[in-house]
Amino acid sequence: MTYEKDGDTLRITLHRDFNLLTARKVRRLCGDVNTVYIDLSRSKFVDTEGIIVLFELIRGGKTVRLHQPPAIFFEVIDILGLESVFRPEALVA
Amino acid sequence: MDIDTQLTLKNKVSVIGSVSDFTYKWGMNAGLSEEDAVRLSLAVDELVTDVVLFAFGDEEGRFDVLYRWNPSSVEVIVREFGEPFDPERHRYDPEGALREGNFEGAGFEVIRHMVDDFVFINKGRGGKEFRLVKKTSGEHIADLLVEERPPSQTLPAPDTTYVIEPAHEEDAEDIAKLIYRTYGYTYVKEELYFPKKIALAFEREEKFGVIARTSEGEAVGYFAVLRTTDSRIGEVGEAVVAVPHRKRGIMTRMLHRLIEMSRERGLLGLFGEAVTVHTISQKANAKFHMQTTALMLADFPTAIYKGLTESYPQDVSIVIDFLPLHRIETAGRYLPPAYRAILTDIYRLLGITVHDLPPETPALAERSGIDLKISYEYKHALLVVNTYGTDLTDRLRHTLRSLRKEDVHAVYLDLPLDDPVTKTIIPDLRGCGFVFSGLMPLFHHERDYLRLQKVYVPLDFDLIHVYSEMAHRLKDLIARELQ
Repeated sequence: MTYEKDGDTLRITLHRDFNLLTARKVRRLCGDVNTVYIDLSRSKFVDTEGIIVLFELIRGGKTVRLHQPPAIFFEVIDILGLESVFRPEALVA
Repeated sequence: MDIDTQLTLKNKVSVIGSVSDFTYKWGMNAGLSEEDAVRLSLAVDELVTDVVLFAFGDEEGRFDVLYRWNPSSVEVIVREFGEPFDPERHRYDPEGALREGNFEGAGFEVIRHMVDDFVFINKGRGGKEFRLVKKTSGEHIADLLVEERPPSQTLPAPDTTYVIEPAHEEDAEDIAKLIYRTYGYTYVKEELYFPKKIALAFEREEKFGVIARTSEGEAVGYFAVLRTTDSRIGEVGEAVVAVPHRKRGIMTRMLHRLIEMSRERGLLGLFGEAVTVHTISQKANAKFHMQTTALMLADFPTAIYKGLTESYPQDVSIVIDFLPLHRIETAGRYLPPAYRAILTDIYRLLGITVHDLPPETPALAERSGIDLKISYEYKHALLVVNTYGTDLTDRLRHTLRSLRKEDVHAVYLDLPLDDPVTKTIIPDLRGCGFVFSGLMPLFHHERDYLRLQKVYVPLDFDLIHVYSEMAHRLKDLIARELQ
C-alpha cells in the first residue's frame, strides 16, 4: 500500500486486496483528513473488514472516492444491504 | 476427492492475504473461472479472518486449511481447535449494520453468497470444521454439438478393426461426444459432459483411461480408472461403447489394457461401484472376475441417476466389487467377532487366507484421527478412522448431529482392520446406529477397512437387486441388523 497526504486529502493505492490488515492501516491513516481517495485497481475484492472501515469513514462525514473498485465490490454491498450508504454515483471516482 | 494441498497457519493477521491469494491461484488451477476463483478466495478470506480474530481469544493457535478437488467441484476446509462457536447464532442483520454499525455475522453472510455449499461441522472435542464448496463450470458438450449432424447408427462392417490406446487431454471432446451420443443426458457422472473437466482430470492425473477408435479415427469406446481414494487403488468408473459397436469385444479389450496400465502405475487393486437398481453392472463386474466386498445403502438419491430409474422410489444402493492386482496369500487382521465369518469369506474370495489376530488393549491417544469426506451431491458422508482416541464416540455423535443438519441420507464409517480397537468397538458403534456394510480392501493408505453404515432414509430391501452370492449374503446380514 502506498499513500500520500495533500492537506486534508489522503490518496491511497492498494497493491493487494482490501482485507483486515489493509483496513487497519487505512483506519489509522484517515484520522485527520476529510477526503480519502483509494485506488482499488489492483484489488480482487474488498472484504467485510474493508467495507466496515469505508462505512465508518462515510458515516463519520468523510468524502470517500474509490478508483476502479473490483466488480464484486457492489455485489457484496448488495448482499449486506448497504446500498443506501455505498451509492456508486457518489463513490466511484 | 482426496486432499490436494494442506496449509497449517498461525492465527496471525498477516496470514490472511497469503491464504486468500493462494486460494485464488489454486482455484484457477483447479478449473474455476477467474470470477469464481475470486469468489472462493473472498469466502476463504472472510473465514480465515474470523478464525484469526476470534477462534483462539488472545492465545496463540494454529489452524489448517485443506484443499480438495474433483472434476465437478472444489472444496476448502478450515479446521481448528479454538473456542466453541456456531455460525447460526451469529446471523447478520442489515438493519443493525445501518443503524448501529453492528456488522456481526457479515462475513458469514458474504461466504454463504460466494460459494455453492457452506457447511459447519462441530466435532466436539475434535474441534470445528468449516467447509466451502464451489462447483466448477464449463461448456456442456451439447452446446458444442449444435452445428453437427448426429453420427450414423448403422452397424459397422463386420471386419471393422479397432485401435485401443491411452486417452489424453486432447481426447476430452471426443469422450464427451461419445458419452452424449450414447447416453443422451442420462449418464450418472455429469462431469463427462464437460470436455474441460475431463481434460483437467487427465492433466491432474486424477484418472487415466483408454479410448477405442475405428481405423477411420472415430472414437467408439472409452474406459477409465479414477484415483478417487487416498490409496493405491483405482475405481473402474467410466465406461462406454457406442451402441453400433457393441458385442465386438471392445469393452473387454479396453479393460485388459486398463489392468495393464494400472499395474504399470503400481496400483494394488481396482474396484467398481455397481448400482442395485438392476444387476447389469454387477454381472459385468463379475464377468471381469471382480468379487463383491460391500453393500452400501442409500449411496445417492435417485434423482441423480437419470438412466433407468425415473420410477425408482428410493435412494440408490450400490455394491462394491473388487479386483486385486497384487497377490497376497495370507494376512493377519483384527476381525470383530460379529463379522468374523463374513469377513473371512470375503477375504477368501479375494484369494487371501486371513488370520484373526487375538484381542489387545492398546493405550489410546486423546484424539482420534478421523477424516471426513462429504459428498454434497450424493448426500452421503464418509468418516475414515485412521487412529483411535478416547474421544471417538463423542466425536462421532457430534459429527453425526452436524451432518444431519446438512440433510445427508447415509453416513459410512471406515475402521482399520489392522488396529486392535476395531475388534472390540463394534458394540459401541452399533449403539450409535451403525450396521455392517462390508470390507473395503486397501481403501485408505493401502490398509484394509471394515465399513459400517448408518442410513437416515427408508429403504425397501426388495428393491435392492443384487447378483453375486456374497452380495445376497451381505444384503441378508444388513437387513437383519436393521430390524
